[in-house]
Amino acid sequence: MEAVNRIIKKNEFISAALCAALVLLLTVAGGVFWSRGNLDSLQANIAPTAIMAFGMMFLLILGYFDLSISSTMLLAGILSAKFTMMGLPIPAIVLLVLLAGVAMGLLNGFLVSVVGINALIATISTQYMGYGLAMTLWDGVRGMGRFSDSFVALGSGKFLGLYWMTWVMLLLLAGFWYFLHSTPTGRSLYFVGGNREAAKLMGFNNRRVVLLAYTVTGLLAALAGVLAVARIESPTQYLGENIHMTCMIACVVGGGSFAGGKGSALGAVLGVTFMSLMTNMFTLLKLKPQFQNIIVGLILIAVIVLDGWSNLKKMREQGKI
Amino acid sequence: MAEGTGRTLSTNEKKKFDFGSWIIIYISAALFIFLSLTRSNFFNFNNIHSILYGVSFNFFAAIGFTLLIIMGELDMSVGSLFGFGGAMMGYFVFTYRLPVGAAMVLAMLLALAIGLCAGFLVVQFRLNSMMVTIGVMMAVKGFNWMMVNKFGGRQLPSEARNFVSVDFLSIRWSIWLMLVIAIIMEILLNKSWHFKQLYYIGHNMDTTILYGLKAGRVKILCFGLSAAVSAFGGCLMTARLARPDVTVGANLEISIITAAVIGGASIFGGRGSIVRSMLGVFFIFLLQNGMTAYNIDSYIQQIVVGTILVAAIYLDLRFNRKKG
Repeated sequence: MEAVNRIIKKNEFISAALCAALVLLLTVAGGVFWSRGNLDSLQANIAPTAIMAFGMMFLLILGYFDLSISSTMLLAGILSAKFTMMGLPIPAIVLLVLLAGVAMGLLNGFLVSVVGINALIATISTQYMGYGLAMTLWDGVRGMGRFSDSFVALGSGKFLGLYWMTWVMLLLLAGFWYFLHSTPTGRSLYFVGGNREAAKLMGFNNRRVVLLAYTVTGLLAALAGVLAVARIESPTQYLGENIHMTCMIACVVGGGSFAGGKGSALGAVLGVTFMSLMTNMFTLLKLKPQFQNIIVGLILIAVIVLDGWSNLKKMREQGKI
Repeated sequence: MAEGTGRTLSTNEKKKFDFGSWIIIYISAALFIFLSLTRSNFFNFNNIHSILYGVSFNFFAAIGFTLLIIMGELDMSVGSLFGFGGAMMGYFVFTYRLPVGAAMVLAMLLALAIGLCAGFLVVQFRLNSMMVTIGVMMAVKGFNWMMVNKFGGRQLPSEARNFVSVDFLSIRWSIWLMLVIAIIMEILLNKSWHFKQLYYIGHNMDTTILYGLKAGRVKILCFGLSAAVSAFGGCLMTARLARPDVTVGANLEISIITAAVIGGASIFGGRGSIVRSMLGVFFIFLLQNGMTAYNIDSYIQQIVVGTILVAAIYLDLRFNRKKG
């Protein structure tokens, strides 16, 4: 009983339970869910989103957000095509695209931590700018067609039955898990995010950590963009559409909080799995994509309200308001 | 021009150079003169009239937005509710063959309900308004898209199209309406106690509550107003385009927030004026018109507007951040 209680109280429990419920529902609903093709597309959906969600979770723990990851992902996809057309070798392409992601992340981090602009406004403007930049480049790669076979292998190559990108995701999961749980810097993030003023007084350097978190988020978004576009096999202007919303919802469902100081890497993966299973369910039920947008928007509002409500309750208990 | 707004509470602020209030007039004038001198087809009645005509639609999304930013809240859903107004007007006209006036009123009422709900959530649970309205934006955008797809590009009947292009003294009525509303709102915000309380709430909400102002209720009402008035602007825009379209109100929130902030509103609350927001919308339009005249790609225009937004927010931070 003691053990059961401990598991239920874990932050990741809700998302794990939701995932289990959806898997059960999808299994009962029809045989297509467990088919090879569906599981593959589910993996290809979860892995890039989860890779980005690690960055988002990193920021959420610190009490920040990044809305620009969707345009960074799009930019990464279009830049991959651009560099392929320029005839660069694949390692150079990947490296340059990742550098572009780092640049976007640094820009965000600079605006938020050095200049001090509100994270939402800063990243919504860089999202807008990044989208503009990506779309100016888009005209040049529109007619490119398919990527070379070796580039496509980055996205659809498999090892032990799982895509490479899933392995990357698992590796990052282990890395982030270790970083957040077992390193002093990682553990201090929770303290910084939970109480910024106190952390500042104790001498934690917020600025540098925030800059780092944004840079990592940009890098991971670019990585996700390369992997996703390689899996799709040709550049698309719809890559990463609304994925910042998906990531944000996933992180909060997985135990993060907009108030900061909470969250884990495993929670991010579980949250993303939940969102992907939902999309999968919509597809299997043949729901229109526009309808999915409405539902995702409503879930976002619900998640924000629930998160705000629990924070309010906590603050009342502490007698802060 | 609108002087003194938002300064009612602190006297020592007057000593500082009031950067935010005047910059918008200077830069608009400078851009206007620049375009008049360098582009031969810029300075003529038709071009300027068409710019103002465009401004008059977007202005409706800026009214409620400005009232909310004065109280320190950001409404990112204005763009999608702008589109929502047009889509719902189309829906009522196509499906129930309602006269266009009734369709607009119904569309605005639905938008009002959405705005009130968002405002309620923000106030009741003390949520970040930007976060909540981004959720609203996404849900409403999906809805608009679904509705517009259903119509498949059908044209509105002529009575639902022509009302918007009626002239008064050879200028479109929506431009007159914009000017009248801007002036009335400006006077109310400066003189009427009911509107002045928005500045007090923006300066310090807790204190105003102690003094017995119903700050929460005012905020909820303004969220509702913002949504309904945006929907009205979207109806006019849709009538001008002659059919409901997904591009109506797309990315509008970015131009509106940029317009309000370069118009001297502060995202920290307590500052802002309707006339200057209107000038801000005018400036953004002028800029886009000018860039188009110089054959600058629309996506590059997007980058420019985003950069201006970041710069404006930075200046806001430098000059308007509350001390302590």
